[in-house]
Amino acid sequence: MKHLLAFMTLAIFMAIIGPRTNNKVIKLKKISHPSISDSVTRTLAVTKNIVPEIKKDQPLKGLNKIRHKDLSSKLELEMDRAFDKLPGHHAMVKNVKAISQKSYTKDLGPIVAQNAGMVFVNSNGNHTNEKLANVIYDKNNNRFYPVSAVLKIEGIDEALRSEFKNDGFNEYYYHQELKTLFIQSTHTEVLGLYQDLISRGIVVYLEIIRGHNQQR
Amino acid sequence: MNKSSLVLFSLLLLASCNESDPSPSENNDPIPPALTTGTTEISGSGVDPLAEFAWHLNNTGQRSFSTTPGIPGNDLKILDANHLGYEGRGIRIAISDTGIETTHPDLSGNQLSDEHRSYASENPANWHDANPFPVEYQGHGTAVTGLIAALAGNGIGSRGVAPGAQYAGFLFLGDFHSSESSYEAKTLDQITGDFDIFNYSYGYAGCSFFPVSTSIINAYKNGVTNLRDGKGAIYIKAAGNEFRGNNSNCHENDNSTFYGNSNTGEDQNLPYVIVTAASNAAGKISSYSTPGSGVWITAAGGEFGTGSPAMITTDITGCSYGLSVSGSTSNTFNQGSLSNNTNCNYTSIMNGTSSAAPTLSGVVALILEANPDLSWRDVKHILMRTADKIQYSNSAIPHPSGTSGALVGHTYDFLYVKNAAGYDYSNTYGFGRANALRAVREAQIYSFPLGPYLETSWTSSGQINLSIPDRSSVGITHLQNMPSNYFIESVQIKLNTDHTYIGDLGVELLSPSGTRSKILLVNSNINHSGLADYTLLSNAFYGEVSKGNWTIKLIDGANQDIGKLLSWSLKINGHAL
Repeated sequence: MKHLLAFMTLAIFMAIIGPRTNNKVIKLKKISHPSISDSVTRTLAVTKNIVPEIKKDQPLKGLNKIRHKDLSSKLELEMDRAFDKLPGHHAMVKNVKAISQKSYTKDLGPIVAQNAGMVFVNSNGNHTNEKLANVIYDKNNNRFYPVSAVLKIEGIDEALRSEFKNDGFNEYYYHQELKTLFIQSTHTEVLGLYQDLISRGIVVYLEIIRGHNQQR
Repeated sequence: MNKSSLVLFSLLLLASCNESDPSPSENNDPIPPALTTGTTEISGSGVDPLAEFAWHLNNTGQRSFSTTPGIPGNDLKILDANHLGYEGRGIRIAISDTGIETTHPDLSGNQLSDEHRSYASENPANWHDANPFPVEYQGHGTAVTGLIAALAGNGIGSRGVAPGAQYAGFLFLGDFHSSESSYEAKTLDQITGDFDIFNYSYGYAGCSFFPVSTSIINAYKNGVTNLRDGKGAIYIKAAGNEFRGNNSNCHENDNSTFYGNSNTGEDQNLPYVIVTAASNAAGKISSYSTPGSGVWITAAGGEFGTGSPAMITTDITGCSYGLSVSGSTSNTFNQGSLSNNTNCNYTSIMNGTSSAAPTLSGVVALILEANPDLSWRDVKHILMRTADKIQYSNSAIPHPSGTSGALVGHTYDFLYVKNAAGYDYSNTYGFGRANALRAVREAQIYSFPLGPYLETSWTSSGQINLSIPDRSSVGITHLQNMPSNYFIESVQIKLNTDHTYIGDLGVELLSPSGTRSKILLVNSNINHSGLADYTLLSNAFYGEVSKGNWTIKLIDGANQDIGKLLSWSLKINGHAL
């Protein structure tokens, strides 16, 4: 993988510095800070078709505010300073990882939070387990969210797409009309690849999995 | 319900389906004349044995296996439109849901068998031309599909609103997505394809605000710009079932009530999506239907099928899976105990805005069959113009938590507000309940009055940092000028606030013409602190002119949490005057 990364890095670096021998100009955009694709998805819990009959004359409860548990009281969060430039309410957490509830086993670490079918574990000493997704903490609602192992790059036409393929990137999906390329990585490598691409001025997005759509 | 509460909630008309409403208020405009069409026979009339229980097609006051009958006339005028010859022939509909049993005897004949998809696979190469069978055996998608396109005249079951339309099923909702893959890529893919209508009977739980990526917004924009040979696909989405909901699904230790808002999902805050509320067989809003200024229209969703009618539709065959199962506690029909449902192939308890969306998709299929040249905006315009203004009143809606929850000097909401262009808009019903008969007749004679679609750029207030008074109806206001002079089709705002509990806040927007839209209602209890450029949509200003001063007002409806309005932005969508 190291050789592959070096090769990709070289290729992309070459791509952004100017015309190539075939006179194609690579138009990868530069950005000044990392970006996040603050994307989609919601709970994995089984959803109901049948909502209970209306509760008539419900007593006043509306002013009893609903709040999530205070996550910080359970665990001292260790933020990844390499991601300090994420939007203000997001922070990359180093000592918490995520895995789906059904895949969780005790040896992965103690559970510090559960949300939308995901289990968040204190992962000290377990940073290299490929099953464990990286985790974003959202200060706006005091919740953890897993980060996808897939990266997104916008503004990629067919020619650039071919170059990414030729340069060894593992294409996950390409949306032709939107000219958007998704690159497959792994949970252990995605943050490094993201920073590597960012450092070369490529517009690349992490995907925060906020939950999945539910039937209504 | 005691008497005082009945008075209190009479304007909301939440669930009192046993109340009589002898004269449902309808659109009083004259019905456009019927034109001669190629087909005048309704296919299979009289040979769909369960169609008589489908109140949304033709409400005769049937009980539909519940204990309380509906009120005659409170339907979508589907059979009337069918009798004009429109059944959705030639219309292609994508149904993205929990998966569909496409071999169901009432669904197999209308499927686009090579165009189903399954996003259960993590490998995009396997998504298209795949079996959309509900791998988790949930009956939702099969029920949704039957409401749109169940066959007519085949001697079994009920019939869809558009039994001549063809569908492709997308298996999209479920517990099978993993963080190794990209849910965003799946979402983008299922917004795209060669279809006239996309039916989305899903959404995010309304406990929080869900921003979506610009890629998803651009995918919708691409769909309305390029699909249907440039006329634009029609995206239809369920508003949500979160009015007066308890929060146990999304909050760990608290069952407090919240009131939801259609604006909690940013893909519902786009002008390209038709957000659909649900009405019941008594001609009132369904008790769960999520309100909000992004709601465009109302269609049939029913109640729960026990006390009051829900929806009759297809279910996963057999009595082991789906909504009709052995041992169902709802009623004997859903247990498979009655002679007309011995195999549990049908259900009478499907409900939700999940049902409203497909009944509207069916209506839109009839409209597009009546006039295939209509653009996505023409369809919205026709739906808006021809809807029945059910429960029509300009009266105030009291705070749903009662007088102790209400702010002195603040009106929670109004049932309908007439805007300066003369259109009546309701956060509860949108522009009213769809009327298929009026809509297809309007489509036949449509004169294409809308100019080319335009969107202004965002105009920003800049940093204003206004502190919002805690639990006070006084609130704060701020004004900004919109220089562009458009015929308004919708308005979007972006809010930037550091308030520590958005569920306290009410947000109102006042147009240059003096129309007030309540975009977020106070005390929603939506659990979120701070909003960073979150987009909200209002349809209340349709037909007004955009140029002039727009005023935003924020009020805080509960003690404790406080915050500032940091900045806000405004965008107008419409066409040149």
